[in-house]
Amino acid sequence: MNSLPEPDAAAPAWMLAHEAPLLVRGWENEYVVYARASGDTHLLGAAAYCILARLQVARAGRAALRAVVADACAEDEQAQCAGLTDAILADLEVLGLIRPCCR
Amino acid sequence: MRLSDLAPAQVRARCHGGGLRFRTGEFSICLQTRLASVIDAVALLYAQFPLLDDDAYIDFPIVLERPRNVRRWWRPQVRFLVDGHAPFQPLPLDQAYPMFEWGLNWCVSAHAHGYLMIHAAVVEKNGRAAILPAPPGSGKSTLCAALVARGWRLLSDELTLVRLSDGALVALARPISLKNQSIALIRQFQPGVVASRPVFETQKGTLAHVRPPPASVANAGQTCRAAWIVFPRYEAGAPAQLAPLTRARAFMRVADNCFNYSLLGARGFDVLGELIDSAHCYDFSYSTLDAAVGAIEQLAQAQP
Repeated sequence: MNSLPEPDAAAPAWMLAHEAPLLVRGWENEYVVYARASGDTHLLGAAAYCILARLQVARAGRAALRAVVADACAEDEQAQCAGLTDAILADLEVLGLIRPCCR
Repeated sequence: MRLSDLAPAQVRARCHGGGLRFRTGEFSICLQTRLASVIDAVALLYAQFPLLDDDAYIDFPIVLERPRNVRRWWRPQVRFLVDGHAPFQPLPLDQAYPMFEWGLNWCVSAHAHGYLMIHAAVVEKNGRAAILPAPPGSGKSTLCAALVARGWRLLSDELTLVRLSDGALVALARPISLKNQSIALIRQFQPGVVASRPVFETQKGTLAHVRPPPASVANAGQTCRAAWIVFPRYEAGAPAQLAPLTRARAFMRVADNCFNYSLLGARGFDVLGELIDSAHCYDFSYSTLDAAVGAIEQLAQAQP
């Protein structure tokens, strides 16, 4: 019998950089996010917001986050989802909103 | 009792003595000075403002005086004091009145943290306000003066005060500051406008202040709600054009124009979010005041 592969504990994952919950307001598929830890406010697109929302629930790996972004992307953007996810993760790290972690 | 109820000699005597006490919006001021240029300008531009009793609480006790230094004789200067402290370096004496206005702006922006303070003009008609945030030089005060000349109520040409407790816009109707070519432009747009004498070679160029309409001063206690946030930009030759702006982008730009958004932290984020929720947001380019006022009027009529 075939079984699903076990998640790779060594594979990269991400979590929110700080425990304090982010404040979010969204309009017309754009979001402003206030990070209490830094006092900074950021303007995010829908895909970036979806990643943050997912990480507010629990830490997640690249595959799970790509799936989240895929849900937020239009059909004709699906081919770019993987690259887009990686770029957003890099941006969110630079902004100090998320950080890499172990699973 | 209003300032205009005092004879010029009485205004002078109060300024020379215990201070001229009056209210502007939510704030009470006591002005002590012997400088005739300041006394004359205050008597002209604050004529409709309510006077306060001698025992009234004063938010900002202000003194404008000539410093006692050697420059007193060969290059006279003026010094602004509030509560006995001088927050700025002295300026040339002929800039005494602009220094009073700048200093008063500083007093409010440095102390009034019961409000989210936006560097923006704000005017109101039929209970709905248009906030005009913009950096210096974008034509914000000129457009504000033109709208006020056409019947909009002045809340402020410089400081939009959003009360933290309920998000209401609170008026701070004071003289409108005009720079350089805007002075002649507004004199042409509103013949008979009451303005102070121009002061030349200030750090902002030539400067004059326009007296706020009596109705704006009398109704300064009335709060209102934001209906529009319009980012004005004077552009030579451009037709008056309003381009819709997403609320999230407007949020970021208003936050950039706030004096105390960062200081207020999460509270500032919430209050600004509620303000943006209630408003339609636009970029606005224009080159003539008639067309600009017409476009804003049309906007107000189209979104009742």
